[in-house]
Amino acid sequence: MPNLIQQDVLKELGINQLPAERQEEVLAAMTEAVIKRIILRLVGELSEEKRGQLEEIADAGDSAKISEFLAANIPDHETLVKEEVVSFKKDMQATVDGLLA
Amino acid sequence: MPEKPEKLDPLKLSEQLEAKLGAEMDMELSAVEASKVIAQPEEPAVLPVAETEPAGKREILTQEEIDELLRGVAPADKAPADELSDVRRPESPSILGGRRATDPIITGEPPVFQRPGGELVSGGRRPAADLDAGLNSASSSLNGKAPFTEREEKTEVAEKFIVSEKSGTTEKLPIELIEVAEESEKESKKSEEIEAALARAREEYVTAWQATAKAEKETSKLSVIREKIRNFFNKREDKISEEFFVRPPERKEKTVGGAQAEAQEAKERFVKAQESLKVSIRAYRDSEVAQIEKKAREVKLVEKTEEEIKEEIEKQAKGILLATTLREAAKIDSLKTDKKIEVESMGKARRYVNEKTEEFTDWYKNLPFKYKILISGSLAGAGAITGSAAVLTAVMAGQMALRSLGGAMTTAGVEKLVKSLQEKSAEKKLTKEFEGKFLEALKNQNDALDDKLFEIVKGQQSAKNKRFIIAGLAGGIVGTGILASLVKEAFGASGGVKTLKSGQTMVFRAHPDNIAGKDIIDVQQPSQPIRPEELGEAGKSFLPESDISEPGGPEELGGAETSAESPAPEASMEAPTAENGGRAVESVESLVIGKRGVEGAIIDYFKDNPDVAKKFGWDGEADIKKWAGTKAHQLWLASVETELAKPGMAEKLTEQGFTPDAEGYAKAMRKIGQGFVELDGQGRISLSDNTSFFKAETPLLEELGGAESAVSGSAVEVPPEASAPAGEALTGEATVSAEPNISTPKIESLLNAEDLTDQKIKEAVTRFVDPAVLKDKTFKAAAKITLSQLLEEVPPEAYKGKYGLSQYWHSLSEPGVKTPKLPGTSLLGEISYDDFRKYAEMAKFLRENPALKNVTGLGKMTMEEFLHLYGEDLGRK
Repeated sequence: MPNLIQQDVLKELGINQLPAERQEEVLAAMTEAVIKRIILRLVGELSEEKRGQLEEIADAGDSAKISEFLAANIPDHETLVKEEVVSFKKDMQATVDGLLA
Repeated sequence: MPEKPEKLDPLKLSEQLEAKLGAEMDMELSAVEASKVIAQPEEPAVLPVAETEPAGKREILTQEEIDELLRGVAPADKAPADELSDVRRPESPSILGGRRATDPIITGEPPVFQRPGGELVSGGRRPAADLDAGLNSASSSLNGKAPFTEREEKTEVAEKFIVSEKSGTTEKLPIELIEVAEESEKESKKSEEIEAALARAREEYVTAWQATAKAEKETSKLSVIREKIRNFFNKREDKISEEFFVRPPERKEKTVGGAQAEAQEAKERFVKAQESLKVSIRAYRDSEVAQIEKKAREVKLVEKTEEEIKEEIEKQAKGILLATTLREAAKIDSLKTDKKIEVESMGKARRYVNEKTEEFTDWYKNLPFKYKILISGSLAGAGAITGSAAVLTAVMAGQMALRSLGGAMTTAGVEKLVKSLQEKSAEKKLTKEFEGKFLEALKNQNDALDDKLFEIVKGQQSAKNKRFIIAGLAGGIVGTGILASLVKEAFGASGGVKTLKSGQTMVFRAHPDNIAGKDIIDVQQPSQPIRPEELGEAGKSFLPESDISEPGGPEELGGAETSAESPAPEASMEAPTAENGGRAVESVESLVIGKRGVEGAIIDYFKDNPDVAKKFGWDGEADIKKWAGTKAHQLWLASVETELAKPGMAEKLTEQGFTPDAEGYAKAMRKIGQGFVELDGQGRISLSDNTSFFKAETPLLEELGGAESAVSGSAVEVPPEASAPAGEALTGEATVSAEPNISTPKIESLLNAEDLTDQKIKEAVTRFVDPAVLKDKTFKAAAKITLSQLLEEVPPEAYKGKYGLSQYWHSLSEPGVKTPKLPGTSLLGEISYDDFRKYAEMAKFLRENPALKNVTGLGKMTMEEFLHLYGEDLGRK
C-alpha cells in the first residue's frame, strides 16, 4: 500500500484510483513515453556537432557533466522539459478522451 | 515438517493396520483378478477369437463336448455326434472332480478321435477352443453373452481398476487432466492473440494519425500558397490574370481538391483505426474481466451476495478499461515518438536517443514500485523527492549514471529523507487527530498540543510563529465562532462570537500589540462575507482582519480596515457586511501554504469555495478536485515562470539547495518567510509573508473633518473614535463619529508648530504602525531610501482598488515597464512582491494619513531617519 507521499504523487499523476497492480503498469508506460519525448526534444535542440559532444560525455557516464553541458548549450532546458511534460499530459488526455468516447 | 502422529494404543494400531491392510488386500485381490482378466488374452491357453476356427467348420468334438470332457461329463448324452466323435467317451466323473480316470487330460494320453470314416486318430491337435470361454459358458450363467465380449468388458473394467489402483485416484481420469491443461493453453493462446491484435490496432492507429496530420498539413499549405499567389497577382498594376501564369484552373482545383480529398480519406481511415483500437481495448478488457469472473466463481465468495460480486466485477472492469486506455494512450505516444525519431533526420543522434531510452526503460522496470513512483513523480513535476534534473541527466548519461541514481535512491540518506517527509505528513494526521479536540486543546492551553506542533515544525517558539502555526492548522478546520472566541481566550483576548456560516475557513492571527492593551484576535475571512444575522452582539467584538494586501480605495477600505484594526476597544465595531462594503468575496485572498505547497493551498481554497471556483471557470459539474488541481497548477506555473526565467534564478535556487523549478522556488520563498500565497480575482498569484505594519488604516482626511484640519501646523488632536469609524465610514460616507479639531489647549500653547507637527506624526506612527517594522528586512534594506524616492516609485494606483496592488505588480513584468528602483530582499536581491507590498503600505500611509499629509520636509528623510525619529515609541506600549 503506497504511503502518503506516494499517494500524493499517484494523485498528481491521476492514477491513484486505479487498482494497485494497474497503477504500476500505467506508470511504467507513461514514464517511458515521457522520457522519450524529453530526450528527443533536448537532443533536437542541439546541432549535429553538439550531439556528438553529448554522446562523448554520455559514454563517460558522468551525469554532472551532462548537467553542465545542458546548462551551457540548452540554458532553458528545464522549461523545455516542463513543456514536454505538459504537452504529453495534454496529448494523453486527448487520446484517452477519444478512446473512451 | 509433518506433525508427529499421536501415540496410539498398540492394540488399536494393530486393528487399524489390519483394517487398512485388509482393505488393501481386498484391493490387491481384485487387482489380481483384473490382471488375470487382462493377462488371459496373452496366455496361450486362451486363444484369441481370431484363431478360433470358423463356426461353420465342424470339429471332431464340439466345444461343448470338450468342455464337458474337461468337466468329466460324458458327451454321449448330448446332441448327435459331429464329424469327429470321440470313441472313448469319458466315463462318469471320478474323484478328480468330474473327470474320469481315463480322461486323456488326467491320464495324459493323447485323446483318440474317430474320423467320420471310422478312422481313429490319436493325438493331434485339439480343436481350437476357447477353453476359458468354454468352461465359463458351459458351467456358469453368463447372461448368454459371447465370451469374448465379456472378456473385453472385463478387460476395460480391470484396466480402469488397475489404473486407479496404481495412481491412487479414484475420481479423475487422465483425460480430464489433459483437458484442463489444454484449456489453459487455449486461454493463454487467446490472450496472446488479443494482445497481438491490440498491438496491431495501435500501430494502425498511429500510422493513420500520422497520415491525417500530414494530409491536413498539405491541404493547409496548398491553400496558403494559393492565397499568396492570388494576392500577388491582385497587387500587380497590370492585373495580369493569374491564370496566365498559373496552371489551368481545372488542374489547380484538382490539386487542391485532390489534397482535400486525401485529407478527408486520411481522416476517415483515422476514425476507422480509432474504432478498431477501441474494439481491441474492449476485447482485452473483456478477456481480463472473464478471468476475474472465473476467479470469483472458483473462490466462491460465499460471504458476498451475488449482487456484491457483480458490483465488484463491474468496478474491476471499469478500472481495467481505464487502466488499459491510459496504458494504450501512453504506448501510442511512445510509438509516435518512435516514428518521429525515424522520420526526422537526426543522424547519429537517433541511435543515442533510442539507446538511452531503452537503457532507462530496462533500469526503470527493475525498480521497486515505490522508487518508480519517485522517478515518475519527479518527471511529472509531482513534487517527488528526486528532482527531474537528477533523473534526466542520469538518463542522458546512460547506464552508469542510472545505476548510481538507483544506488542513491536506496542509500540511507534518501531513505532518511523519505522518512522525514513521511514524518512531516504526520502533521496532516495531527490536524485530523486534533480535529474536534482542537477547541478543547486550545481552551485548556494544552501543552501537549504545543509540543507536538513545535516538534513538527521545529519551532521557534516565538509568539508570532505560534500564532501562525495555529493559524495554519486552524485554517484547515472548519471555522466556527466558538473557535474564534476560544482562540481569543487562549491569547488573553476577550469577546465571543456566534457561530459563523459553516464551511467558512478562518485564519486567525493575534495582535499582541493592541494599543488599548488587550489582545485582539483578528479573523481573516478568506471568502465569504459574514452576514450580520450570523453575528449577535458578541459578534461585534469579533474583528475581521483587513486584508493586508488589499489596498482598495478609500471608499472601500477605509472603513473595513479601520474597523478591523481599530485600537480602540470601546469603539463600536461593526463587522463588515456586503451592505457596508466590507470584505466580500472579491478580494485578494491570502492563503497559508501548507505541506502541499502553493498549489495545495489554492486547491483547498477552490474546494472550500465553489462559488469562487466558478468565477475561475469551474462549470459546477466536473469533479471539482480534478478541476482545482489543474487550475491551481496552471495559475501557479503562469505566475512563477517569469520568476524562474530571470537570469541567475536557476543557479541561485540550486546554490541554495532547491530545485530550479516551480516547486523549488516555492520552497525557497517559504524558507525566507513567504509562507502565504495571495490570489487575486484575476488569478494572479504572489507569495508573501503576510505581514502588515500599518494597522488601523489611515482614516480619510474627509472623515476627520476636512483637509484644513490636517496637520500642517495646526494642532489637531484626533480622538480615538475618529480613527475607528463606525459603520457609516465603511460605505465611504464622510460621517465621523468623533469630533475633529479637538485639541488640548494646554499642550497647544506649550508647543510650537514644528514640535506639534512632530508630535502628531509620532502619534500617528505609534498608533498606526506595527513595531515589527523596525526589524523587517525590507525596511532595513530600504534604510537609505528617501521617502520621496519611495513615493516616486510607488504611485497611488499601486494600491487603489481591489486588485490594485496585484495588478500593478504584475504589470511590471510587461515589456517596457520599469521595475521600481527600490531595494529588495528576493533571492536575487531584487524587489519582490512582498517588498513592494510593504512599500505600497508605507506609501499609502505617508500620502493619506492626515498627520503626515502635506507635511513638508518629510520627503528628504530616509526611511531609517523617519522610523528612528517618529518610531521611537514603537513597541513601548
